[in-house]
Amino acid sequence: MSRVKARIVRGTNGSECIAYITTAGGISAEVLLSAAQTGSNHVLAAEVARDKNNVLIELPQETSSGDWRVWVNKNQILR
Amino acid sequence: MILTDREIQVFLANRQINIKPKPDPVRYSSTSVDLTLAKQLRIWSFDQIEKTKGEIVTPGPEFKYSEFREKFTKRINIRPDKGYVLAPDAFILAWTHETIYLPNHSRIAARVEGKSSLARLGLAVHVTAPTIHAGFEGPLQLELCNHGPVSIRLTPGMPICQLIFEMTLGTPAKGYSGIFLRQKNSYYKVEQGRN
Repeated sequence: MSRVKARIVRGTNGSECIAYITTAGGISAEVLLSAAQTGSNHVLAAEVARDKNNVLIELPQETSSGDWRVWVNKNQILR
Repeated sequence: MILTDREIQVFLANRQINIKPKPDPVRYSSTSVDLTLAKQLRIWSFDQIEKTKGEIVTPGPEFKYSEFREKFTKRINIRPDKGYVLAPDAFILAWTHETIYLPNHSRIAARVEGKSSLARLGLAVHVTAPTIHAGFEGPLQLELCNHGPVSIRLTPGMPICQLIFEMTLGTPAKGYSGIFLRQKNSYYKVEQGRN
């Protein structure tokens, strides 16, 4: 699992939060998650593939726009 | 057994599953692959329905779906700039942009299911008929229904449904040969008509 940088907002109940992840294309992908799948500034996601500058990650839930996988810049992956 | 993304890609490489055009890497999830919406739709001809008010459809040996479809529906293309707005409670027929071929010997069947991002808005993509039998060939027809209270704009190329592939226990004695094989009377005709 990788920690992917994200802006985390509280959801409608305590166990839910909303994460905004900036994709390689510059779009802010919104995803509703269980609070257990996030930290204060990141979400837990699986790396699927890499190219020179970007990493394809699979999110724990589908984004609002319908993607399970998004390309993010490799700088978005926290050490 | 449900195929994972890796197995789907191996089966695609070996032509045991055929999807054209090939899905983009972001269209996969762990156990499914998303398909996108074609620009052709079939919507109801409400003037014709009004004219034949009271007519009852009787499915059975004498029923011909192709005649029903020609009588009560009309084909339209979604305008890429405006999309097609699906009103609450509206029901239309749509197709996937991708065509699927599941060779009989591959021992693969599939199910088409909705996407949670669209389900939250109230959009259903089939009416109790999700099975894609081994041997099926053609684009997938979708029965789109807006169960939500707000209109939904549909645009060509949007991820509209997901395919889940399952391996059969043995090789079927007979591949799919139903009337919707290659969806000859619908999408393929549209495609041919465009050329």
